[in-house]
Order: sequence, then structure tokens, then C-alpha cells
Amino acid sequence: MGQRVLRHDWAGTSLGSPDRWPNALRSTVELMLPHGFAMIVLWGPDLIQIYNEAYSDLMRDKHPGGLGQPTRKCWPEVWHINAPIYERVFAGETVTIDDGLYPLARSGEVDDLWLTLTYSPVIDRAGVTAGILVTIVETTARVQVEKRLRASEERFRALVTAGDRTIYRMSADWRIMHQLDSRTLAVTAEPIEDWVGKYIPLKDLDRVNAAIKVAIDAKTLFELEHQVAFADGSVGWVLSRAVPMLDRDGQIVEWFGVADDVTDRHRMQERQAVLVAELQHRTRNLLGVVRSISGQTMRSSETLEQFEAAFNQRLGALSRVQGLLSRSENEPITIGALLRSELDALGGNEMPDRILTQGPEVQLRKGTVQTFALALHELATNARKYGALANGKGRLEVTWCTYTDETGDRLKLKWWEIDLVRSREEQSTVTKPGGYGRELIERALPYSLQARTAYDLMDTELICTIDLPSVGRCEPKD
Amino acid sequence: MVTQLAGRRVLLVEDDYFLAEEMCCILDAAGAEIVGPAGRVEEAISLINEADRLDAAMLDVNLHDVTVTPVADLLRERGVPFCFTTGYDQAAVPERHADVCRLEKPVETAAAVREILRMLDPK
Repeated sequence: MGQRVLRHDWAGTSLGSPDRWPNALRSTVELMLPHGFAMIVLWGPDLIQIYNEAYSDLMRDKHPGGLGQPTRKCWPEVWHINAPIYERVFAGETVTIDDGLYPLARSGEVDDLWLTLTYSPVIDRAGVTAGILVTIVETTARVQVEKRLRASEERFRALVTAGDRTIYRMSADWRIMHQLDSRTLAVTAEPIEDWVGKYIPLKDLDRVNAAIKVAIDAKTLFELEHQVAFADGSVGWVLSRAVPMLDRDGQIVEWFGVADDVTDRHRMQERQAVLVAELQHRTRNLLGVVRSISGQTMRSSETLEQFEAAFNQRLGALSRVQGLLSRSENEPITIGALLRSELDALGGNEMPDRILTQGPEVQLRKGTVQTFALALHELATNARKYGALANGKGRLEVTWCTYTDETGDRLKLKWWEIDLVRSREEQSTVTKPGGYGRELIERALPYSLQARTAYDLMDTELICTIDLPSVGRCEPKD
Repeated sequence: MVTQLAGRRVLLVEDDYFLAEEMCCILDAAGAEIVGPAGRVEEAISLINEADRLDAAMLDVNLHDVTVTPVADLLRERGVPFCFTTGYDQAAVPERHADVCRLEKPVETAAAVREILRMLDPK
């Protein structure tokens, strides 16, 4: 390259023959030519280019044409970038640029180059800037790697923080929270002392500290589901995982962690546990009730056929009420729904003109539904077999209302059979003293449901009132 | 069998009428004298306070969504042995009474009598 520079026809340029070059130019070129970094000297008012081999490698097709060429003519595509810089350097300034973008047309097409470069003035004997020395390091590869890394980091961050995720950095001993980014937890921009003590509720503090100690001692993953105070002051649950960042000696530098908000899942699990317990209770209880019904039915049956018919009907009532109970999460059980289900089972919907049901939609306590349903079933069965619905002309009116007294909200129901004929009443379980239906109404409802009941059978009428607590504070929480 | 529990005073706490009735039949058949049945905590507590003597008790864990624990606490204070009847799992029993025997509903006749005998004469 040195030879090529020396052999160049400098006489044809404004610089003239090298043996007449000023000392400053000659010594700068001598220093530059063997240099390992890309360097170029721009000399004189035309900024004539003299460069070394490393620079010529950067030029691609612009070399060798660029040697001795005015720089504006060689690099018109970046003149707008360079011209202001040259002006500052001619004024005596040294200009350094880190990772500057230079769109260069080195082989026709423009491609982007990132350069770190310094422009320094070359002073002639008179003390005036006569030229510029530019030293260049190409940083394109590093800049592009960094850009890709940053993009990848952003994608990673977006992924990690998606869906109410929190990311955090803790000191090696977990005393100081360095940084915390979150949508639900209070964001930490400045380090906070004793973050654990400030944000972990007291009841979970021992558990969290114990897990931290295990993780620090073993220098292994910290993983725990625990409660935490959210930014809005509420307390929720997170599943927190943190990995220790180790230095070369294997010592912990800090912890990098991700915490998922699992509050909803936790609430659902708690709710599910309540439901499972309730179901257990209900199932066990139901078996007891079935056993008791079978015993009662057996005592009041004279033949196996009688037992079978009565027992199956009672099981039917029990099964209908289980259906209502299983849907009660979405569809609260009302007195109207319970009554209709019992009357319909006996064909009540085929005699709408003889049955009147009237009252407000009142929600029943879940605990009362089963026994209440069995009582309504006994009344309805009795009306159908022996009472007002057994003949062609009797009528049934069931009306109810609500009121509140010192025991809370109550429901009062009146079962009124009109124009009944007392012919076979002695067979009825309701009217027969000691029968199952009568026992249900007069003894079981008061005992189990704190109900007040009255049963009055007259010559052509039957009036039964049942007054029991309706939905109130004893309802299982849900 | 008839006289196994003869003369023994047994408190029965159960919120369901029919289950209470059935348990009364079982205890009665075994010759026990039944105190109760009580369907509510307050009732059970006043029965305990009024009773001259109680030999044993059977407690339903859950009385209309109210825990029977206060009754259990009082019985323990008085030194009256008791057992639980429950449809729930072990977790439903308060921790300080975790050692108390638990009969699962529906309670078998023989199991109920056997448990009361064991309470009356612990080996």
C-alpha cells in the first residue's frame, strides 16, 4: 500500500509531488501507512484522500479510485454527515463519534456501517489546520449483535411479564430488593431494605424466611407459594421462583426471580375444598336419611308391596331435591321451585284449575331444603291419595309470605285443602297420628329446622302451616 | 345387648331429627338413659349444666353450620367422655379434640354401642 501511495500520480492533484509536500503532511502519512487501524488523511481545501491498507479494505469498490480523490467526490452519500464535522475540526476541535451510522455506497448498493471514529486536526508549520486525520474502527458486527440481544431481551421481558407476572432481583442475602417490575405488586425502582418483612404478611413470614434460608444454604432454586401484599393494599397469593446468580467462585451475587399471581387459583381451591367438604357431609347425611326413611316406611307398611311403593316415592322426592341442590350454585332454591317440583311429580300440572300456588320467590336455606321437601312430599302425596286431589272436586291452595322477627328472616307457608272427603284418612301417613308424614311436620321440622308447625284436619278441610327460617346468615359462605 | 348400657346416662347431640330419633332407638334398645337429643349448641350446653350426672356423650360435629366445639370443650372440662359423629373428614374436627374417636355417619348400631362401652371403661 505504501508503494501504491508513493507511485500515485500526485502531480495531477492539488497536492503536487510528494517531495514538495509540507512536513506535517509527510510525517502524518508516514505514521499512518503502517498503522493497523483504518486511517485516512484529508488534505487541503479539496480534502484530498490519502489512506492506509486497513482503510482501503473498508472501501470495497471505491478503492483504488478513491486515492488522491477529493473526499466529497468519493463519498457523496455521507457528505451531509461529514461536512459539519470537518468544519469543527478545521476550527481546531477533535471530534470523536461512538457507533455512528454511515450509510455507504461502497459497491453500488447503500449498506449501513457502524463506525467508531475520531477526526483530529493536522497542523502545518504556520500553526494552521491544513488537514484532517481520521482513525476508524468498524463496529457494525457488535452493534448488530447488541441490537438483536436487546430485541431478544425485550421479547423475553414481554413474555415473562405477560399475564400479571412479576420479575425481581434480590440481594444475595435477600435483605435488599434491588428491582421489581410488576402490574400487581408495588414496583421497586430504588433498592428497598427488608422487602420481605414489609410485603409478606405476618402469618406467612416464617414459612417464607425458612424457604429463603434453605435456598441460600443450598444455592438452589427458591420456590414457594405464599401470600403477599399487593400494590392496592389487598393480600393475594403468588407462586414465586428465584434462581441464584453465581460468580466465578460460586458465591451468590444476587437472585433473579419470577412471581406468578395465583390468587384466583387459590380462591378457587379454597372454594373447592369447601364444596367437597359440603358434598361429603351431604352424602353421608343422605345415607342416614335413606336409612331412616326405610326404617320409618317399614314400620308403617303391612306388606312388602306397600313398603316398595311408599319407599320408592319417598326416594323419588329425595332424588328430586338432590337435583335442586346440585344446581343450587347457579340457581338458588326457592319455595316456588320446590313446591312445583313436588306437585308436578304427582301430576299436579294436569289440574291447574284445582291447584293454586301463590307467594313471593323466596330463597330457602340449603340446610332446610331436604327435610322441607320431604314434608311437602308427604302433604302432596296425602292430598293426591286421600285428600282434596283424590276426588273430582276438591281444591288445593298453597300460599306463603315472608316476615322478619327476632330469629331473622322467616317464611310462613299455608297448605289448605278444600272440599276434601274424609273416607280413608286412617290410611294416610299425614293424618294418622304417629305416621311418617305427621311426624315429619309436627316433630322433625321443629327439631331440625326451628320450624313452627300446625296441623288441623277438619270435616272437609285441611290446614297445615309451616313457618321456618328462610335464607339468612346461617347459609354456608359462597 | 339389652342391658349393656343399663343405667348409663348418655347425652345425644344431633341436628337432624331422624338421625337423632334413630340414635335414640339404638341407645334405648341398649338400655341407656338418653339425655337430649339436642339439635343446637345452646341446648346441649344447658342440658350438660342441668344434668346431675353424665356418663358419656355423642356429638354431631356440625350443627346447622355451627361447630359443636363449645360442647366438646365443656364436656372435657367436666371429664365426661365423648365421641363425634360426622359426615366430614378428620379435618373438620377441631385440633384439640383430634384424639377423640369419630364415628362416621350413618352410624352402625353395634359400632355406637361398642364405642360408648369403650368410653365408659377405657382399657
